[in-house]
Amino acid sequence: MSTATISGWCLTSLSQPQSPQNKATLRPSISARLNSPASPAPPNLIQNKPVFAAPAPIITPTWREDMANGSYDEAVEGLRKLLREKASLEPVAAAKIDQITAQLKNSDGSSSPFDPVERMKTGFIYFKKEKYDKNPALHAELAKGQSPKFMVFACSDSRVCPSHVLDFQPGDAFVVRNVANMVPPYDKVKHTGVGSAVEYAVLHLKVEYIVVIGHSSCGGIKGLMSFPFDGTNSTDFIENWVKIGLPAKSKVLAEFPNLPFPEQCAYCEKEAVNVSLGNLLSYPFVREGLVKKTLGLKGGYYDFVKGTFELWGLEFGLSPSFSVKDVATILHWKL
Amino acid sequence: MAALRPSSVSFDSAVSGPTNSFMGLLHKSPIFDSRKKLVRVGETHLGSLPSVKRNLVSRLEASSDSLGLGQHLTSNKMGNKMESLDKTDQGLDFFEELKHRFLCFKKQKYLEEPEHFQALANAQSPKFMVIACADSRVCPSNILGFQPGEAFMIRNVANLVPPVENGPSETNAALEFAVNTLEVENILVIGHSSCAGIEALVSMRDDVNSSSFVENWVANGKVAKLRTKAAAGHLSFYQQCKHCEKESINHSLLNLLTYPWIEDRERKGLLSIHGGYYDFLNCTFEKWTIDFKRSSIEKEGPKCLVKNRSFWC
Repeated sequence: MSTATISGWCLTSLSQPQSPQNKATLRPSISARLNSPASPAPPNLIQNKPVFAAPAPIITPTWREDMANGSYDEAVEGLRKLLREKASLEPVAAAKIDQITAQLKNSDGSSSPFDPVERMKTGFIYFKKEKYDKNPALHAELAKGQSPKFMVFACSDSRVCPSHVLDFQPGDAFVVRNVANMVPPYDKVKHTGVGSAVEYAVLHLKVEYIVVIGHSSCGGIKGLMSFPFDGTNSTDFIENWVKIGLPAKSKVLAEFPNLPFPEQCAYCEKEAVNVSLGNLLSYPFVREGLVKKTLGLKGGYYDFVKGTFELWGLEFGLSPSFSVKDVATILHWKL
Repeated sequence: MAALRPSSVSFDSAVSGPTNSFMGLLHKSPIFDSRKKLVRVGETHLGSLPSVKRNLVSRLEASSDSLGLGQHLTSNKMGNKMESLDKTDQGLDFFEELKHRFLCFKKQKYLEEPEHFQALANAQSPKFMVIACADSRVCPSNILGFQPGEAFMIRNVANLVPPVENGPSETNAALEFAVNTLEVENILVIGHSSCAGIEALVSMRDDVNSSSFVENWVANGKVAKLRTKAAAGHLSFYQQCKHCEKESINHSLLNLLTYPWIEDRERKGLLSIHGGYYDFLNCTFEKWTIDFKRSSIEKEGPKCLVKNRSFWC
C-alpha cells in the first residue's frame, strides 16, 4: 500500500478492498487534483450560492477590451456605420443583438463545461470543513451508531430534499426517497425495498415518527393522473410503480371531476400521501407501534411554488372490545 | 378507503396569509380541540376484509396544521429551542419541531434566493442522479453539498440497484424517470462505512429462506457477498463488511448497465456512471468512474473496471 501526499491531498492506493477492480486493470489511473502548491489559505472552493440548475440570474455582459481582436467600441462603431449605409438592415441587426444579449444573460461567463467531479469535491470539502470538523463530538457519536427520531418518505425530486426543506442534520432522519414518495402495501415479494426500510427503522432504529411528505408539481403524480392504466404501458417501470397511488386518483376524479388538470394533480399529491399512510398500516410492526404509542404517522405537503408546508397527523386505535391479538388472528389469513 | 376530515389549524392566529386546508375543508379551532375530534369511519383501511368491518372500528383522526407564509422565527437557535420545549404534549412537540425546521429553511434559503426557487418551481434539470443509503448520517445533500435542483435522489437500504431482470421496483422506476425524462448526465452510487444493510448481507445465512424484509432486500447484493467471501473471507467481520460495502457499490454500478437505456446513453457518451464511498469515521470520500469500454456484464465474469479514482480527505 503506497501513500503519496500532494499539496495536502492524501492519495492512497488501497489494497485488498480494491483488488477486485485492480486485478484486471493494468494501470489504475489515479488523477490528482492539485491546488497551487504550498498554498496556506483554504481552498477557494466554498460556494455560498448553489450551482444553478436553471439559467443564472441576469448579469450584465462585461465586455473586456482584450477579449476579441477588436474592442467592443470598435465592433459597435462598425455596426453603426453599416446601418447608416444600409438602414434596411436595422431590424435584422436588432434581432441578432437580442439573441446575443439573451445568450450572454444565460451564460455564466465562464467557458469551462460542467465538471461533475469538481462539483462533488467542492461540496465534500465544504461539508468537511464547515460541518464535520466543526462538530467533532456529534460526528464521533454518529460514527458509533445512529438513532434518528424520524423516518421520512420523500420524493426523489431534486427540489425537495428533506435535509434542506426540514433542515435535517446528519443523524436526524432515516430517509427513503422514491418517485412520488410512495409507500406500497406490505408485500414480502414485490416490495422488499420499502419494506426493509420500514422494518429497519421501526424495529431496529426505533424511530418515533414516520413522516410521508408530498410536494407540488410532482412528476410522478402527474404521471399517475395521466397514464390510462388500461394494460398498455408506455414505460418500463414507472407506471408499475405509480399505480400504487391509484386509489388517490380514483378519489380525486370522483370528487373533483371538473377541475382543471393541474388542480386535480395538486389534490392527488396530497391524497397520495394519505394512501401511503394507509399502506403503512398494513405493516404489522407499524400497527403495533401505533397501538403502543411508540410510533406516530404524519403526512406533509411541501408547496415550493408558494413556499408553504402543511402537516397533519393520523391516529390509529382499536376499540376496546378487541385486543391486538384478536385482530391479528382475524387478519392473519390475509397476511 | 378511509376518509380524513382534517381541521386546519394555524399556530399564529395573527396570520394574514392563506391557511391552506386539505381537501377544501377549512375551519379554525385551537389546537387542543382539534386533537379530540374523532371521525368514525365505516370502512377501515383494511377494507378488503369484509368480515372485519363489522367488528373493528378504526378511529382515524387527522389534525392538520398549516404552516403558512413565513412569519416570525425566534432568534434562538433551533437546538436551544428543542431543549426548552415542553415535553408533556408529545404530538404538539412534533408539530413545533417541524415547523421550526421548515421556517429555518424558508428564511435561510428559500427567501434568500427567490428567483432561483421560482425557476426551480417551473422545472427541474438536475445533472446528477444519486443512489444513496437511507442512513441518517449520509444524506448526499449534506456530505456532497447538493443544493435544491441539483440531484435527483433515490435512497434505499444499502444503496442497492437491482438488475433489470429482477423486475419492477421503486429503484428502476426512478432510474427510468431520471435517465429518460430528466436526462441526467451523471449517475452516482454512494456507499458508506458501517452500513447495517451490508452487515446484514454479510452475516446472513444463505441456505435458509429469510423471513425478514431486510434480508430479502439485501439479497440483491448476493453477488457482492460471494466476491467478498472469495477475496476476503479470511479477514475479520469488520474488514469483510468494509470490503463488501465497496464491492456492493461496484455490483450496483454493473447492474445499472443491465438497463438498455442506461447502457445506450453510456455508450454514446451522454451519461457517466460513478461510484462513491463515504467513510464517516475518518471523514473521507473516495470516488471512481466506470470505464465503460473495458467493463462487461457477462454473467460468467462480470468485471467492473474503473478509472479516474480520487480520494478526498
